Amino acid sequence: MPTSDIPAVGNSFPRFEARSKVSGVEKYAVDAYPPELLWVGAKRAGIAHGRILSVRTADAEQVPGVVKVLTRKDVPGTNRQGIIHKDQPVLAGQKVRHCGDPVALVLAENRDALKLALSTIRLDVEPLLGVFDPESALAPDAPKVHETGNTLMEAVIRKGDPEKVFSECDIILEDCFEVPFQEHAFLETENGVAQLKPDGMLEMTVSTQAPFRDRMEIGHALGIDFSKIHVISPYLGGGFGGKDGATVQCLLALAAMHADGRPVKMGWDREESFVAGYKRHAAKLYYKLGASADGMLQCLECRLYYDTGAYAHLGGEVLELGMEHAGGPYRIPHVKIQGWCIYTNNPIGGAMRGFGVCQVAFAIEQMMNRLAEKLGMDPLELRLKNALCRGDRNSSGVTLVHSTGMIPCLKTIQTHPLWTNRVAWKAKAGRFKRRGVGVCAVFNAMGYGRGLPDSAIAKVELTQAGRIRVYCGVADMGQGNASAFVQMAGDILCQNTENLELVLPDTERTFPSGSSSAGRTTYTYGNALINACRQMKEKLIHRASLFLFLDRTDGLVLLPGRVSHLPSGREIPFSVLGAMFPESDRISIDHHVMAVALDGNLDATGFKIGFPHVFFSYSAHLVGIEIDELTGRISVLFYLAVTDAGRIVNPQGVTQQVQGGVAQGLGYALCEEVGLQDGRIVNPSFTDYILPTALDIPDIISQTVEIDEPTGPFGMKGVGEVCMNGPLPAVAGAVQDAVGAWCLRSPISAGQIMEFLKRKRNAGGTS
Amino acid sequence: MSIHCKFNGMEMDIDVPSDRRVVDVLREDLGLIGTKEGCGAGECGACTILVDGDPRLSCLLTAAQLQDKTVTTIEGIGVPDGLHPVQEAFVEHGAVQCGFCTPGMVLSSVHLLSQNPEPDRDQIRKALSGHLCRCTGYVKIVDAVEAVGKQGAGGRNQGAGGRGQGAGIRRIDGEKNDISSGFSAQVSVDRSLTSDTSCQIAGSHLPPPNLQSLAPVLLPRSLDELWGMMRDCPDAAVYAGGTDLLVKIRSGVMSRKRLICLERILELKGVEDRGNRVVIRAATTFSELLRDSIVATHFPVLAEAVSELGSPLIRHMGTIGGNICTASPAGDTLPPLVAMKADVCLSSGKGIRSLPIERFIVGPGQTVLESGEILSAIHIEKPHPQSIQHFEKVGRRNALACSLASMAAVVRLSEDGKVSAASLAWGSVGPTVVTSSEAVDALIGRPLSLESLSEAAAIARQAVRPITDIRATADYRREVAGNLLLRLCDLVYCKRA
Repeated sequence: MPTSDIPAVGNSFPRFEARSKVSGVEKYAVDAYPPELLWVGAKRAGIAHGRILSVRTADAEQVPGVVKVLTRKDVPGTNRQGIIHKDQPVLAGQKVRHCGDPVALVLAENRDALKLALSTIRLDVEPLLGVFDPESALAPDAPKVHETGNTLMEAVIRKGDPEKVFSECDIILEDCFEVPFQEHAFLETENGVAQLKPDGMLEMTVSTQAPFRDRMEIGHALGIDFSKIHVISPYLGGGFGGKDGATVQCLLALAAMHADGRPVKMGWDREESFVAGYKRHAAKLYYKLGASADGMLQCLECRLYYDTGAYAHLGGEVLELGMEHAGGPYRIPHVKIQGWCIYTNNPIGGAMRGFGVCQVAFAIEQMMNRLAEKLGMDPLELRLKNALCRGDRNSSGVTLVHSTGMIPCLKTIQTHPLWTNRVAWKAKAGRFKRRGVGVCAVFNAMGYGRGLPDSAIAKVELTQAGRIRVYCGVADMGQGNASAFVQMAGDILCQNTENLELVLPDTERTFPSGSSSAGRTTYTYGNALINACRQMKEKLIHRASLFLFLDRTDGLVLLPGRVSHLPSGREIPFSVLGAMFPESDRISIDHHVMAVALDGNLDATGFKIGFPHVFFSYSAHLVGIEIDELTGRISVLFYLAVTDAGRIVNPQGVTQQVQGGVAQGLGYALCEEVGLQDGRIVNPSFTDYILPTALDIPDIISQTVEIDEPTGPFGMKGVGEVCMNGPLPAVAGAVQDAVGAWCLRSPISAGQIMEFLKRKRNAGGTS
Repeated sequence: MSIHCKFNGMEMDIDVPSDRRVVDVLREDLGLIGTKEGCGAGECGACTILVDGDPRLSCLLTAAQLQDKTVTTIEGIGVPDGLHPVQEAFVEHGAVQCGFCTPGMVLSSVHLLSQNPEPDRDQIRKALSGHLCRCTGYVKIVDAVEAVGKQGAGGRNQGAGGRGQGAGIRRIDGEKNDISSGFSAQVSVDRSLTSDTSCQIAGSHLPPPNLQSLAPVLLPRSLDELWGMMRDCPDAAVYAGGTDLLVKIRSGVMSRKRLICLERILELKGVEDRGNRVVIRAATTFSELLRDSIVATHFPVLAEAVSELGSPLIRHMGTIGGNICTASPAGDTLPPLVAMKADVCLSSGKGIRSLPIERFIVGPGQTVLESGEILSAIHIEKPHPQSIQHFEKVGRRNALACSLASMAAVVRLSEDGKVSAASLAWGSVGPTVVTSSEAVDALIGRPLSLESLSEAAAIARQAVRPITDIRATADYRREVAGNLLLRLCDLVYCKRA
């Protein structure tokens, strides 16, 4: 390995762990095979709604190699997991609320015995009438998913006087939009290993985005003191929100409690990941937008119905963020945004990159496109006219006191050749082809929002051997935060990668730093780390001065592996300092808590925690598509994403996030949909859940407008989520441009396009 | 069963059940955890390895199939302080995010560069189209592979491991220490994770033999050997590539049983020119067909269908005979074979019979193959050299796509540009391949104009019998089945231009 440069912030820095990942030696949770392990698997209900009469496990217990079969009666504690709302049973005992509910857990010596045993478990269940969409679930006589009713959350944001102002608007547009559940489809499915140690500690290695919170969730569900739970979170093979919250954790812990001290391993196969894993919420969105004849937005009314499926997970918080973004990155003086997050017997809606915002971005941006068409105005011009600036109040009434780069993003597109040459580009469409160009403006909040401290605790250590070790308390699911932390520490402490070490999240070694989510990971932990590194720097210089008998420290600098006294040229290697001072003196620990919105006059009701936010990243996207008239198929020919995520710590890392988010967004726009029939997934595999391949994604161009965010580490803001929100509205705009029809639901399938074309032909025929 | 093979440069005899999936052998028995599993059904590419230098999906490979083979896993490509140029490029260009798809991507890239040292971006995209990546959007992966090509560093000399143990391939000896020291020595990550969970060698987690050994895999080397085995095990399932059968067994659609794999029978491999007809032997893989000059010259309609079938990984494993015997309404080779009026040869220990492919497939998944029989070859008359051959498949994406509708056309034009003969066949719009002599009649004697093709298309839409399923509606399939004919006028137009 060549001697590396000091990883300066602002320069591209290949990932710290890239070499181990690219050579296959990096160990993910799924690569743990402890000796003497038992395989664990869950029997899934396979029915969307029903009352459990009995779970017959006698045959399973007879299968050779089966060690234990557990059911509800074996679960100590509350048997209820959930991040905020504890409504999800570890093992269902009385009622089944969706097909993926686990009703029994099998521990076996090998996977064949496990599979056989699971297939012999019989669930006797009295089927109940199910409810499969939020609006039906709100009917007074609808079947109840939970005893408390079907409404998980209901909230309203009001600003100004929308009822009055609508009557004064020159233009009023109304529409209703629908989006389906989306699968995270990380390649490493939910998995982990666990073992109850002789000292009573429950040790777990899990593919998880929130190891510290997992302890609480497991402890609550199973009646275990959380301090007796030790969770380790190696690099994740993808997360995107789907590993934020308990997946295998409680089941594994339960199995470990019944394994006589042997390690247990659970890994969902792809189908189980579909059936039991969390999803992006399906939603139905009613919009009414009013504007004046000059294109200034005046008022917005919307009703948002989010389908959280059988359990809450973070459904309420997802809805809240959707509501907060329902008006888009625009100045709208009068709004009334109503939202409902509703239980159904569908799979569980949970956190997913974009967290409730993707859904409303589609709706508000299509409303903007319609408005532009109605006004005969350039859609980019309309957005520029209404875009939020620093100092404005957004739709939820929060004053934007931090960096706000919506307009610079839009202006970058406005001058880009892909935009300025679009007419000529469209005219080049060949026979049976039509081209269209779409543009959109999106934003995404950063952090947990009010009511829940968005905090991180960072620790750096000078090891005894004289290297700098960063204790990272927040999981790296692939987005590269761990590497960014190494880069920041290297920059501040002037160390190259050979002198840097990283400890991944481990509840016994690192400190609680929140979940890897909400675009807050690098921001919050990064700020804490900067504090800790600056202290470490001061400490190293001071301790070196003691060693060198210096009565002043101003000639001392940090260099790779050493402290140097420039005036005299004398140096102290870190290894000497490391050997000299005790561990308690070789560490620096500090924390950071994200600032929150301070506006006091918000007119919003029904919100619990996570509303409102004050930091936002912004993005404008431009897409060029070609539609084949014979098949309705859409090809994405170019894509430009311009992002305001503050200053850039690692340009390569930002491009990775943007390209990856756009690709997921293009999947959401064009082909991804969890197909449901009475709550049962009809396409629970990669054969029929269609993810884009390398042949479906163009060379996505990512540009940034670097606007300093003074509160951010090195001026940065979160970049991981905002990019996800653009592709669906951008493509929908391009479809309108190409075929003159408004998409109201996603994904925008070839079938939908053929319908548009047919409708157009028929209309043409009669006029 | 003891299987002799060469792993990452080292000869080994491994004692594992012959029907154990290779991905499990690698990860659980040999501790080679760099091979990942993402779907278990050949749809994601994470488990890719090189077998004799060619990419294979280790989730759809039985241990028996490794017998006498040279296997290269990601561990054999490079180690953190001695990366292969392709791996270096992945690091440098930011092609690694979560990293779970990366080993498979690297192996397919190494293979691509061994075949095509300076691929362009489209070729790279196509070569990697069997690998799903959920993090990168693929752009930086393509960047990395393109850069290696331009440097000339990943080409022939360093290329695809197994076959030649090229310079870029590192030896590892499968010992736990070597695998783990590979990382602890290189990467300064403090690895609290799995110090005590490291790889176990030689099957300490193997299931008890009684469960597994019930279903061994047999690897006959000749037809005579095959007939004997089929006689002895009349219930055995016969497969060649495994890309359909092993998926069915995994999903429980088919119960686990004794398997006979045809891949080693040379009499079932290859393409032979016999004057005015061509014999394609059934266990010829799609990749082999695509490399074959006879197929390229005489059957572009088939080559086109095969080039879009599944993914490059599936094409390396799947065979034309398997595609026919699976008899899926969406089978990609079926419309071209029907359009060319291919015959299939069915062989058994008792003899050979031959019949038109249309009579061989009688319904979805149903053929007239009898017990003791295999499909051994396909016979196709060479179409007239001047005929226009065209195939188009409509899927929901550009690779790994199950066809929603497809059409194969073989059309001959007379001197004056009018259709003198035509053969048309549609896939995915009926229980078996659909043909329509009425649609053909509407074209005969007329030029391939929008007008004539529209008339034929209207007739075709009447002829097809599509269903609505989770992939598409019947209306859509019907509409598109007709529309696909219109593309023919585009082709003629292009030809003239």
